[in-house]
Amino acid sequence: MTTTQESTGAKRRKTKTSPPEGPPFTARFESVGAVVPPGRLTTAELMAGVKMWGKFDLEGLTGIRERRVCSEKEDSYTLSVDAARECLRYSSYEASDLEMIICCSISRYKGGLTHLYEPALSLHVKETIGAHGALNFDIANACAGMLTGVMIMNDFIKRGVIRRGMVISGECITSLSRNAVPRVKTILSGQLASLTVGDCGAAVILERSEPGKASLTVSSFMTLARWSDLCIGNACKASPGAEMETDARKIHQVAISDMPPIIARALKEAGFSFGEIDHLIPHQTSMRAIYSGDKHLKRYFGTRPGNIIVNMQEYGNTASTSHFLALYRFLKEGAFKPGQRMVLLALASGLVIGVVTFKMDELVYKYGYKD
Amino acid sequence: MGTKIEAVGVARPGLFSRGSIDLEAKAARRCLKAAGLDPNRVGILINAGVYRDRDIGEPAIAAFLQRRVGANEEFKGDTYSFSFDLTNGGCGVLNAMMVVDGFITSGITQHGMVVAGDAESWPGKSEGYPFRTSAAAVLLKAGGEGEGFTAFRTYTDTRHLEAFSGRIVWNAERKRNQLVVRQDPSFREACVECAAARLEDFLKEVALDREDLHLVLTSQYPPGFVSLFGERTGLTNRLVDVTAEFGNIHTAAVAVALDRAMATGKFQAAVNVLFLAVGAGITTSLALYRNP
Repeated sequence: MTTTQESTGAKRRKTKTSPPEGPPFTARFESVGAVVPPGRLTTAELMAGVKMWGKFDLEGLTGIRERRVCSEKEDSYTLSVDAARECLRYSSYEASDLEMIICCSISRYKGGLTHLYEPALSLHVKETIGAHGALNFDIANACAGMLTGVMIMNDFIKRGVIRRGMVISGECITSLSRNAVPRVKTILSGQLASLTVGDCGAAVILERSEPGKASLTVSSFMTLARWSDLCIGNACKASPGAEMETDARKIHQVAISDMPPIIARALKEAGFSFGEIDHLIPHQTSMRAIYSGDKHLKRYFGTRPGNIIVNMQEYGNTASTSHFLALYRFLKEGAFKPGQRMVLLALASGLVIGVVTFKMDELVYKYGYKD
Repeated sequence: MGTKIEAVGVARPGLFSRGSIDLEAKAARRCLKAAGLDPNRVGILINAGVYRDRDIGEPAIAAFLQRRVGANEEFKGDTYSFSFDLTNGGCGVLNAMMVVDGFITSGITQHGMVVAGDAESWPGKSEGYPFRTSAAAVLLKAGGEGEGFTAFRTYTDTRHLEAFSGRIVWNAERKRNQLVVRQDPSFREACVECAAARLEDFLKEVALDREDLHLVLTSQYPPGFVSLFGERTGLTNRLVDVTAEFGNIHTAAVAVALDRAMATGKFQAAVNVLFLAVGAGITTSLALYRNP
């Protein structure tokens, strides 16, 4: 199949509404989808294999009760494809309407634990779902991958280069946990954080917004590169899959000190205050880290957001998919109302911090919300 | 308003720098030095290299590069840099330039850098790895009306989806993960065929003839691609072949060819410069650049 992807000019096929004016346009989330593999692994089952000095309660520390794990037939590619299809199920678009596909996962497993460097995973995914005409490429930015994808696509939509596209991630990362089990001996182990991860696929369609609908504000995406070596993941030398060394304590310290002014800066751009946030979705690392962050943010801003979304109890840290898994799940549970102010907060290895804000709009009705 | 090339930097393996990160950092520093630009003014840094030291998956390789060049390593308030990796085989560099072009056009940053380089993740341990280690960096900034990049296009032709692949595969016999690169004998011809066909499509879209192209900077892989593509399209005298000097280089190839064209004055003398990258997929990316 031969296809063309335009990246300038912005003239495409089917359009549902005529554009109100010229660029800059704004973008909104048109639909969200997420999938988790059926396999479950409880923290108790995982920790049964860990031989540590002294007592250590991982579930108590992180709040993670269980995580989903891929079987041998599931991988980053299958999770990406399933998530894309789930997202399309809630969308008014067909796959063939998509003009851009960005795959953003850290793990790029296709065919078991075989990591694909090239061709791009996004090319396989777009062909499988039928988005043949879409421009595709892969990006990687650790756990900020999907939000970095949103940042890039938001810019293409704002300039009028594309009208709609999909950001996808399929994180098959529980080999990190399996490989950490025999190596974690003390609470100070660099692989302790590897025990918190879970597998998940997520996808989101961005489209050009219209008057009366939400507009994304993507701001303050930055890499504090002095801390680039605080969390390093790579292919495991001696076992299938990957391994990761993390200085979680230091990452938390940097986040605590630098995040409040960065959030303040982003909210200024978005035009509302910290106390006016209805739902804050942070990256899902551990309950203790989120509670501690909440405390520091309250001290800085003198107030709290209406609700901080915590989702890791059943899924663990699902890396780049975590914000959209949470968004999807709570959309389906009817937790969001039109008009509510949403903040997605990225924190990732690099060290990457970024903020995406928007007002919830008619998106909720697609997931069964009733006024 | 187009996005202009401000400077280019190239690095090859030396006694103390052999890995992908070392070389990419060296190329990035050379590029900044050539431009005389304070690294803190680079708002966006994208790594488009595919094969990397120790098969690192996180953080983005670009974060290491940002640190090595000294661009806003810590939070200072109003100035900051953002880094990530963008990969699409041999076409990653042009896709990354397209993204930086957008960020500059939107005013997100004034200067953006694309860095690419490849090295065997564990030297001597891979199977079929064909690329020579090298790296290059391109610095972009806002240009005037009608100058700089004016169009980017990417085409995919999945009839040859499996003709070239790079993977990390678990080798159960040797009990280790191994980088395995596979190339079908048909890959070179497929690349030439796709690149030649897409060139025609692209020229139609930008309303130019082959004769209007003064310089054509292409991928240098697979071996023999540049000369065959030249023969097929009649563009031989406008191509830059760096394989005699650099060997089989991968993602950095287009930028290395640009560096050589700048060094010889060919780039400055050309009005219409075509960038053409081709790689696994088969994916072909083209970009038109105009000098004033």
